[in-house]
Amino acid sequence: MKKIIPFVVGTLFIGGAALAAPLELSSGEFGLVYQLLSIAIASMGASFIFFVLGKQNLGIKYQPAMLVSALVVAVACYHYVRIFDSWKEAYVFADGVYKATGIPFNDAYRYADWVLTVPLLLVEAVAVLALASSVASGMIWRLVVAALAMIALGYPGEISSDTGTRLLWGTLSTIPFLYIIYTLFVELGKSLATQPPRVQLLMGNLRLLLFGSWGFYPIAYLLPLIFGSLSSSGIVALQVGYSLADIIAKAGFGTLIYFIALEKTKVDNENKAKVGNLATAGD
Amino acid sequence: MSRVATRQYVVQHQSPIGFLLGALVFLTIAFDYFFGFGGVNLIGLRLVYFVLMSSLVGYVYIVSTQEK
Repeated sequence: MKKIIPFVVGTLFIGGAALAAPLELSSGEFGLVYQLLSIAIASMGASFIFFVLGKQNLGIKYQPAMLVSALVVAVACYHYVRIFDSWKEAYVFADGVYKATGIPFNDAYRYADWVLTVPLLLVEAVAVLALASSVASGMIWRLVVAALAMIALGYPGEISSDTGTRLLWGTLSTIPFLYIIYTLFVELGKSLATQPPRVQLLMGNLRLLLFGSWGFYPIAYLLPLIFGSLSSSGIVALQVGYSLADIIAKAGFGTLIYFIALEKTKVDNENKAKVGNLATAGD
Repeated sequence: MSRVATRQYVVQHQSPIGFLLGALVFLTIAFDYFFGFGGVNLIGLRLVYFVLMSSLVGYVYIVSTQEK
């Protein structure tokens, strides 16, 4: 573990040239990415307002998880604005097609975003259950290291247009992803037995949503290999895949966290009322 | 300040510390928008995010496992 952490942290900060934009895109291809980036901005912005307002309905123990959800979507909203601007600058409409302006399309904001948001999403999932510190502490820190390893190992492949390099780093990045899935389904699963039935149900849905949406990232990562890394279809497929997965993984995930926290608050209040009634009856 | 004292301090001041961390995130975004961090590869931004992420994880860890 002590040898892995410096390597992971080092890889998080390597640089790489932005991929050159394909020379031409059809109107439909440009429009599809344009619309999806707009939808991502709107989803993240709306989720931020919902999470900030919804935080007041929750017990104080569960408010940090909602604060983190709100920050995650706020940061993602800003990054999508930057990616959207870069997309608009990279192409100009001429002779019925969108031609590259020569300004490279820079979606480096995606990886910067994931450095902040991916570990926080995992921590939220554990934090909202308000587990005993002896159970939660090890799990939280192992999930954070695994999340950082997953991002760090994916990045060298992401900035490479070589198929072998992309496949190698993509495969390495899948190892921590599988570890995260194991921790959430097996280790966290054991702690769920003590939770209220509705929380167990919602937590089951949350894990499935996480598995489904995060499982979509490696597929999107591999799409440029199928279509050709610098082809217009490859770039469009990658942007569409990542944007859809981000909307589900951040806005959808945060909404489920809210409903889990709401249920836990309700159960806590009922328990407090029961204790109060018993105390009154005792007097 | 000992570990226990730090923990107690964070738990007792949960709301203001949460607000401060949130404000730091927004300040980082504002700084990046107006001045930029680390050029095309955003290495500076990734570094700042790494620090913010660690602080937020520490905060959530302390606050969400209180009383146990």
